[in-house]
Amino acid sequence: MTRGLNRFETISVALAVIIAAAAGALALASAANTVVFIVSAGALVALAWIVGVATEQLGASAGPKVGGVLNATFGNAAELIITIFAIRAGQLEVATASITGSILGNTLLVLGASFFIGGLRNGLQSFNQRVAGMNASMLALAVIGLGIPTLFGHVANHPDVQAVSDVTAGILLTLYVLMLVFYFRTPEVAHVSGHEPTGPHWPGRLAMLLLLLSTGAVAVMSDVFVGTLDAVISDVGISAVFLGLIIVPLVGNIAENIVGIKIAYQNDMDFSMLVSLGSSLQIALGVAPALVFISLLTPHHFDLLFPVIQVVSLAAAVFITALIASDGESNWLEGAQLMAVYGIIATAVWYL
Amino acid sequence: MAFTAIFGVAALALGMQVAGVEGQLVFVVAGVGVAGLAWALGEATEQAGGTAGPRVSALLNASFGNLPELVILVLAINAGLADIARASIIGSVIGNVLLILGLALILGGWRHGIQRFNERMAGTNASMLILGVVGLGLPTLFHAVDPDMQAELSLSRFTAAALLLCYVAYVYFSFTTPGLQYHDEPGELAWTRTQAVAMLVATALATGVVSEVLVHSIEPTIKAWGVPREFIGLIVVPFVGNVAEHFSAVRLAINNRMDFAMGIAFGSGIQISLLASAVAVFASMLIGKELSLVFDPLQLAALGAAAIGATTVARSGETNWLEGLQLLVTYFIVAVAFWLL
Repeated sequence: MTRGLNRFETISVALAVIIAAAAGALALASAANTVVFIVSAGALVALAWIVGVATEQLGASAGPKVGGVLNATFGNAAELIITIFAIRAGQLEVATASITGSILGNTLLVLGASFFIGGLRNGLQSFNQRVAGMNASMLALAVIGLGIPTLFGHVANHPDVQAVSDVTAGILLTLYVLMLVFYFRTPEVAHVSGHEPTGPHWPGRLAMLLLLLSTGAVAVMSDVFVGTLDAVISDVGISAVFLGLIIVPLVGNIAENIVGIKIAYQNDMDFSMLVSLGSSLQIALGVAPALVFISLLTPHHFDLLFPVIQVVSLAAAVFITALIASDGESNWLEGAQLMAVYGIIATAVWYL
Repeated sequence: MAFTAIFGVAALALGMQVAGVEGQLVFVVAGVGVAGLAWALGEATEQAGGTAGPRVSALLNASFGNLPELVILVLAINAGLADIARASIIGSVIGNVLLILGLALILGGWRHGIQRFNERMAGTNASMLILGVVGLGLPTLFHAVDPDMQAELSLSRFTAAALLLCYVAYVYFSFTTPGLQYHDEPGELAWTRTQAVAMLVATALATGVVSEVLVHSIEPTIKAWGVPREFIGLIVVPFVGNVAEHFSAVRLAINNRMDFAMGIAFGSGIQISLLASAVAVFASMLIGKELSLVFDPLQLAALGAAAIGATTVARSGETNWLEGLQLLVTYFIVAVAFWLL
């Protein structure tokens, strides 16, 4: 086993550095905003992938428990950073939509594509029903948690909705910690989440260094990326909601999504569902409440007040996912069903 | 004998239309005619399929099983009765999964106690039905949030295309996955293939003609009876198209063939919500009176309740008469609610 980066990893790191440098240069040279948007999005995709691999390698060399905590914290680091910069730039509509979009993308598109591609190759696939059921009920709870402030704010016109949102964020974050504790203490769940797809081959110090560097680079690129949003919205004619709901989650997650689908192709559904459903949970219970508190450091306050349509879309997504995941078996048709719901929601948002 | 009587009623309905009779009497006669033709169409499909083997037979069923409902739907759109058409899509699904399934479970369960069925197949059907409901529900939802939405029709078109693709995938999936087909042993084939195909064509044409008569008598009947429009669209029109399926599903449940009985109820609900609704949207584009899939929210809520009820029943792997009663009661509450509306 090699110690250090294998050839594929070396090439990807080099590629990420080149694209990121290009994006930075274009931004400094004040090139056309659309071009900067596309190049910085590409850089973010590559960097997010490196953050993921570095986290995985660091976790693998530090043992499954630490690895689990690392994954739970850094698993959606790119996503979190992009959203923080969006909030800082006052793009609250994009930030809110990107939370919804991440959950929708993971539960419908990624899980759907995993079921679809895994099912086409492997036929009927089975997974641990208890873990899937637990994830599904956690997800339902998360959507209820995200929905209550919205309900009070938009429907009942609650006078102090920000307080409701802050307290809810605190509760959700507590729940996320409890969930992690539970997962690490329950043998069958810990077994799934301690899975090592590649095995460690980076020295711990190298992994740590790359993690820090790539995370820093994600922050810089996020700043560039977010800076182009206004121009893209007005020039290209894409709405802020579509950008937030579809494009931003895709940029932050696509590397991870491909991993989830690849694992399903290799017929390890438990691990694949951990990637997709676990990621959704992390966004809903970890990232969204964390943003509420982090936004206190910026001039703009982010609260858990979503447009009603997004909450309802989330509810529909969680409902059909829970229904499909609760029987412990999947096939390609179920994957097609999930992706169809995603497609319809995306179209509706496009036309909104 | 039965066929002669059915074509007799059909001819009578047509005659009344030609003679200029208007109103409720035409509606009743045409309704009986369509119900009879729907049964005859089922028989002809079975006979035509029986001469061609189980695959073709299943494909025929998957495409023509709900032809009468589809024909009524398209003709209603053509007559400018888009609200009736939309209501009849929802009413047809509700009728299949609440009324038909409920009756089948009650009568089958009364006779056999607890009845079992293939859980995997029922699970696939249940999630397919939920997909249909979610798909049909989303355009309404977005429209409710943003009433000035410009793109109601584009969204409906895209939704229809997505649902249609899913239906094709569903049919392909059930053909290629072992343990998902239900085999009805072919009844004795009374007809030659030519006869069967000729009969299929004749009944289909007659269904079209009599449905046209039925659709034209809807407006006068609503006036004459003073019945709410919603009730006609949601309860009466779907009943006419579905009554033949009621008999088949109940007969199969009484014979303790629950897989097949549930296959009819769910399959028919899926076919309406995914296939018929999509075909209706595309057909309406050709007619030039494009159908939007923005439904009445109350009707959609009833559809959601029906799908949840039926799904809960399907996922337990066994049924009893009490579950049937629950479904039936839900149906009657919905019917009464729309009657009083």
